[in-house]
Amino acid sequence: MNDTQITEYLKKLKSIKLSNTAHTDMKRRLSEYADFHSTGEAVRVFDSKRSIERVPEGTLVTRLIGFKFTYMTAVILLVLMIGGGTSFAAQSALPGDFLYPVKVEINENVESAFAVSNKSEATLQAKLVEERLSEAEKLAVKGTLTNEASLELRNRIEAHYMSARSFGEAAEAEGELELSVNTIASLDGIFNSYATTLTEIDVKAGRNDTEEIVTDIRAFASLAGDGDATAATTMAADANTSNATMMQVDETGTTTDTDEGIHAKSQTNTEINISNDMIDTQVESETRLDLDLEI
Amino acid sequence: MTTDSFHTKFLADFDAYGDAIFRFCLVKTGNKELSEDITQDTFMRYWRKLSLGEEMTNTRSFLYTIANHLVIDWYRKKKSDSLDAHIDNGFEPSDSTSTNAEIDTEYKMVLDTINKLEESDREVLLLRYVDGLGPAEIADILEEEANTISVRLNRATKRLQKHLHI
Repeated sequence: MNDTQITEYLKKLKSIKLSNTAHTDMKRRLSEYADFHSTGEAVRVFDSKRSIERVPEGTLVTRLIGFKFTYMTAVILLVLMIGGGTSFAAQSALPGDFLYPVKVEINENVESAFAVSNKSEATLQAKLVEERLSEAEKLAVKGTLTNEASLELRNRIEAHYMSARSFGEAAEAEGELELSVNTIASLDGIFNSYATTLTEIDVKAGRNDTEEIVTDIRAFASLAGDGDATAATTMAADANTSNATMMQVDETGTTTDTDEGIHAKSQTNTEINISNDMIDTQVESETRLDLDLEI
Repeated sequence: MTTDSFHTKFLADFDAYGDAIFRFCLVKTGNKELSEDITQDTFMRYWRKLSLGEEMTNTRSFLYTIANHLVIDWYRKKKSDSLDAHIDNGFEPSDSTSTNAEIDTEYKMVLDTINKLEESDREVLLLRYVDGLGPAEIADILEEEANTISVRLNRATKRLQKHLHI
């Protein structure tokens, strides 16, 4: 059998392709992913590569600039006219509620703008994964987890999870290995826990509202679980190296910090103080908005 | 390039190379669902590079390289069970990727045959004879020397001929 014959024989493998459904679904998800992670052509903030303007499509700014007057845009404009206290009311909104767009398009994007490092953004996105899961649970309890709401939540969970992983990987590259093991990989347990709870709610109520979203959540759990081993292995290896440079043993056998270790701890404390200052500023700003509304 | 241009190119590249990447993953892992996941992951990572404006001289090779790394990562985590199970049981895509029963039968027969080869043989045979890549390009993707790939191709072809009793 010469080369041509081998080629002809093996070319039958060319019929192995993604099914039409799989191709279409994957293309849609990738398109949404690309929309969510838009290009970084905008202003640099805090000397980092991340920018306030690197936000998902469909935020207040991009929708107004694009003059896309959809239902969501109308709600957001209404919020601006009424005042910022609405953002507080929106925090308890669920998919389908009038103020839900305010929660996900304004409040959460403001939070994201304050997450100035890859680590803080990854942590925030992981928190938003849990928030979406909580919303699914509340809707399921109320018996209002419609197919539409399920799909919206599923898409948002996927986007937040992928974002958490992406920023988590970037943070890992900067040496924040503990983040992946503790925060991102713990989503595995969170996903499974909510999947179980949603199923139980359905069983007790004699409904079948949660089947589709539970299937997706279990798939995310599986993905999150796969990320666990690599991160843990890398962290263990790095911990051995970093401990050697952070600590030293003197002649009496006492372990103390090296200069590098002291500097690392000081950096961490500075980051915590900066984060706390930003939280205080945000709370103060929201309090002023509240007072304006009362007036 | 504007955001829209990146987006358009990204989706066009998926249309052009999505099936090839999926096939590559399936031949290496034998698992359809996993191959779909890795294919999606590959393109997501590609988007991250593309959206930062990073130049790529050869998009196809870049995609194969990412997919290869992801499969290697998967093997590292699942070393003990999946590879042996797939080699023992043969490839079992859970549903057909083609509507033509005759084509299905043909490619399954070919898959079962190349399944008897080592993974390193399968991947070079696929890249060379199905996707038409040259030894130098395959070497880039698999991060080997071009000479090594030429030798591996030669041996893989001979082993395949032996299985086909030629």
